[in-house]
Amino acid sequence: MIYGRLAIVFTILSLLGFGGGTAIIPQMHADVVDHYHWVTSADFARFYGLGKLSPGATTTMAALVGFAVAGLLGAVVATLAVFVPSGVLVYATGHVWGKLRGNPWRERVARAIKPVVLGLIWAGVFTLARGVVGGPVAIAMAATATVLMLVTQWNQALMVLAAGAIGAVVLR
Amino acid sequence: MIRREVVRTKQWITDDEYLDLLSLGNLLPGSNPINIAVLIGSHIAGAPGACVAFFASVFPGFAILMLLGAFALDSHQPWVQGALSGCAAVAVGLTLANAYELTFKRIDLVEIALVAAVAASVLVLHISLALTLVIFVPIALVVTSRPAKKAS
Repeated sequence: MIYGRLAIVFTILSLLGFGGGTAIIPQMHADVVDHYHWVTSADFARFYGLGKLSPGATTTMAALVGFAVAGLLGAVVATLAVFVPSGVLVYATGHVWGKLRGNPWRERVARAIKPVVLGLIWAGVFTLARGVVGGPVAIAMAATATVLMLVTQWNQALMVLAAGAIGAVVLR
Repeated sequence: MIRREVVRTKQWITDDEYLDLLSLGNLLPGSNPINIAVLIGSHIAGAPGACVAFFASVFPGFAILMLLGAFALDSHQPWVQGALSGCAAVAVGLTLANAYELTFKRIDLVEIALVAAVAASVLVLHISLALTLVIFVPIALVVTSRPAKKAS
């Protein structure tokens, strides 16, 4: 059943999603694009763009994958599956965490996870980039965004929104 | 923004407690904003607080994406597809900038090599997320606990 498959895929992503949203992008792409063919690589990148545009976690893009596969109920299933398991885990761990303050292992693990997560984020960037359509114009827009992000403090969601307006004209 | 609201305006928790929750929210699986919301909710009002914070942090984004997505997915208008492609391109550019800053402003060369090894393994060898964690977290534990040359 499609809802069951959505639930399993996103629950696993939820529980393995150390370090936040972008780190699970390569695996999410492997599951929903390469393995199940629920969405195309181009749509996957578009959903990511919409996820950046909307408030809250970019991972909410899971809702769009669910929606594309199985409508509103699919969206609800995917969203709950991607957020509830990690939410429960975080809730359960919250109490223990305070007590571990000052424990050297706490800092050590936190530090070790960082480069691994960063590697996954870089892999996520390239995975997404392969799905971006629009040729040189899109590449120029992406490069401009990279530079603006590095040298200004402009709001990210507004930049994505502006990109939508520009894209409607130049990428049609 | 969250910090200003819960620590200063509402005074629900102290700064120290906030930083503590933040470090946990960043470490554990799951999206950071939602993790933080759950932790703050549970800190203030136990399990019910965690549930309220969870839905309050997930629902607005979900609702907006459903409105946008229902519209965008049904439309084969070229300008809609163009707009979405524009969003995608810039979102990737922003994430690239983010990755660049996190990688090159904060950690040392050996760690950068580790970052590259992880990225290459995922992109070229297509190893799964689970396998990536199983292989590289132990390596990272060894690499990052070299006698402290104070990085990061």
